[in-house]
Amino acid sequence: MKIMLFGGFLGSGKTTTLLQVARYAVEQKKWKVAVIENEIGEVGLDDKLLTAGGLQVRPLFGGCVCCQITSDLVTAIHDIHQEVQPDLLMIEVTGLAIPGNIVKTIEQYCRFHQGIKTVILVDGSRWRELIEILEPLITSQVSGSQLILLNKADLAGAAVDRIRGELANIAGEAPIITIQATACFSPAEMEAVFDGS
Amino acid sequence: MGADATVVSLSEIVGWQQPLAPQQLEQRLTRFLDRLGGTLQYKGIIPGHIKMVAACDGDPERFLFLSMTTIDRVDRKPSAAWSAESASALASVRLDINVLVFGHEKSFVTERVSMGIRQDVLQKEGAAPVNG
Repeated sequence: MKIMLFGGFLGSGKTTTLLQVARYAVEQKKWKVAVIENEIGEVGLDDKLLTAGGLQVRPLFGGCVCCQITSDLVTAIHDIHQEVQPDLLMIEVTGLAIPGNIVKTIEQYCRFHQGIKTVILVDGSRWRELIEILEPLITSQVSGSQLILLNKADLAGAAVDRIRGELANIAGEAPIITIQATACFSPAEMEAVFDGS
Repeated sequence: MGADATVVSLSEIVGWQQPLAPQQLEQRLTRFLDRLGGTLQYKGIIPGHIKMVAACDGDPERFLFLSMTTIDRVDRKPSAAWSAESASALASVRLDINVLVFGHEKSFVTERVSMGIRQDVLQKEGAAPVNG
């Protein structure tokens, strides 16, 4: 079972991207896919979109798996590994989570996996404001990822190149791809998501 | 801006004596989000995320998902059943709302959400303005 972790700040496009990537995995790669959806609110909303998209979803509500309900995540991963045996487990973490912390937890308690890839969504349209007021959180989310998807680039306008430069300074060698998650991914964009998975 | 996010979740069934057309309800929900977003915004963006689902009471497959991260921009994702041309008027819906935002006290956000539902969604008389 391979694991793909989708992180990034609140409203950056994680659910929309996950839905599109999951469909590709099921329809093109013929993989069996399972999804864990973590929302910090007390009611689940995003799982409705994923379920309506034809996916089987294990929701985890009411806290963040990186710092509040970590054991729930470990239990869910074990359950899915044993009961569903998917080719790919996709985990959408909350917009407040630091994915690097979750990777450490999975590496420690779920060693049966066959690789983890961390994909981070960045909202290009709010980058300047968010980095101004929440820099520690934003940089913690971006650093250590294997792929950065710079979303809502159409709304970022001429700032896209500057944002890419700032992301590169934070993320180092991780590839940065400019996308619009609400539009259909190109084959090259999709292959970049699956590269190394 | 504070280091911790404020999280306000609300689930409520709301109804009207005169059923609303789906488009009419969507206008009210958009108005609600616009005004709530206006009170929570910083330099034109929401330092967080406002999300809501309005699901037909008794038919959870018929829902409208709305979200906001930037003022004056509401993203909508209707389910197939919501978009159907034959969709009938709604006497009541289940509203699920999650507001996650930095820089505001929970009591303030809770009050604004409750007041917005009363004023913009239910349109009950006597409600105080959301903004101001």
